[in-house]
Amino acid sequence: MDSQVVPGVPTRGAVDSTVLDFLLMELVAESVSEAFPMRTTLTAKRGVDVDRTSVPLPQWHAPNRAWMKPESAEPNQSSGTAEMPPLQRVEEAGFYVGERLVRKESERASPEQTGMTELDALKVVCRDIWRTVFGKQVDSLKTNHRGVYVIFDASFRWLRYVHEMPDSIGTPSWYCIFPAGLIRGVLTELGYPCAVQGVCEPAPPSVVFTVRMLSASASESATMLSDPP
Amino acid sequence: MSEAPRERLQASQTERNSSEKVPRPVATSAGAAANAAALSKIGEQAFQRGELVNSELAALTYGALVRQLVLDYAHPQQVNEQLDRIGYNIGLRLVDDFLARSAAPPCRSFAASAEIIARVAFRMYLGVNAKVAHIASDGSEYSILFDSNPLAEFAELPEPMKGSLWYSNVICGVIRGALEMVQYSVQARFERDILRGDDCNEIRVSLVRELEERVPTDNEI
Repeated sequence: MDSQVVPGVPTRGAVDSTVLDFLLMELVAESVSEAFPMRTTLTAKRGVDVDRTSVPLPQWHAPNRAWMKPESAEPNQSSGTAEMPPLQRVEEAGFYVGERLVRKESERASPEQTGMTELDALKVVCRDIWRTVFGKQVDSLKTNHRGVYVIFDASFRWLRYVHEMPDSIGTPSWYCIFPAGLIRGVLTELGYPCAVQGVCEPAPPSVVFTVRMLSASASESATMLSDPP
Repeated sequence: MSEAPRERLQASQTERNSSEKVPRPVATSAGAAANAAALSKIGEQAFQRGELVNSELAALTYGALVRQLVLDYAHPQQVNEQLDRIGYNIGLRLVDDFLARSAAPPCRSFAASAEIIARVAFRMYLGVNAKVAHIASDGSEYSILFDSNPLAEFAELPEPMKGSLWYSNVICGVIRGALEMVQYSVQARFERDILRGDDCNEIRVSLVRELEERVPTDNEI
């Protein structure tokens, strides 16, 4: 466990936390504004521009959509992210960050990531990732031992100022979506695909993330599918 | 402490008068250098006082934002514009945080803002050292040069975008937004970017006009 370091202390460089706070706010605002009518016409207009068959895209642009959620990787590939509900894009951005965060760390650490149990992976999230991202450890981790984990943080960094937010900027739970995606990215990268949902309970500075492992249900459905009718 | 702003202002004025395209002799820039060192110290102290986060996390989050825009917009030029707009939104609000926390002397002139942005703001927020160069003779334009850029830490531009995308364009927007809040309407644009194979990052800031502070006509106070 200790050799699988995902250290919390900034290793090479550090930036002021304000930078990250603002980036996250803009990420949410950017994605949410897609939902506003004014922007929708823009998107529609843009949809014409973004005719992905005619525009030569950079190589990394389209072919491998492995970063997308499995359920969104449906046949209508051409519509891409444009069709995604706005907040799902925030979740996806979080996933992208979480996945790479683990990858960056494992490049430095020993490649002994394979033997990690489900609980170890969760501990990495609660201890190391949390410290890196939110500057503290989680306050509690509970599990029913059947693939469901509940992470509770009583003073969640990114919700510190949420109670001062005017209603127009959105509901506090919008700001749980990015971290939920991040957790999902980390766990998936560690070999445990899951679904993560974040809610502000009981009140904004505290947050509850519910992690549901997909492996159990996925193997069940896999066996069900493999049975011939 | 109260002497500092005046000294700095004088320093920047001598700098302004003596700076042409040719490099200035060391003797005349001694005051400016001392002033720059003092500002660097202020920046470093503000950086240490602040709450720090892993720069990789910021780099990845910024990368996620740029990635989304690249997927959304067909042309890198549009991505640049969007990044600039996002940066502007950040800058408008960031300036409050800067004035509250940095303890930097006030900008008494546009030229004086250069050293403050480069020495204090870059150090305080991004943890990097930047310097001012290529100041126009009338003091209405300057460049900010910096070598390392934490936002672009893991970025690599694909070949087709090397000539068109300014990956860190959000910084230009931040400078534009922040200076607008201290009554300078400016244009800021990248001139050089290490990601494109240049030897350093250069942001060119040029003054459009000084804004006048007015009481709003519908002020009900």
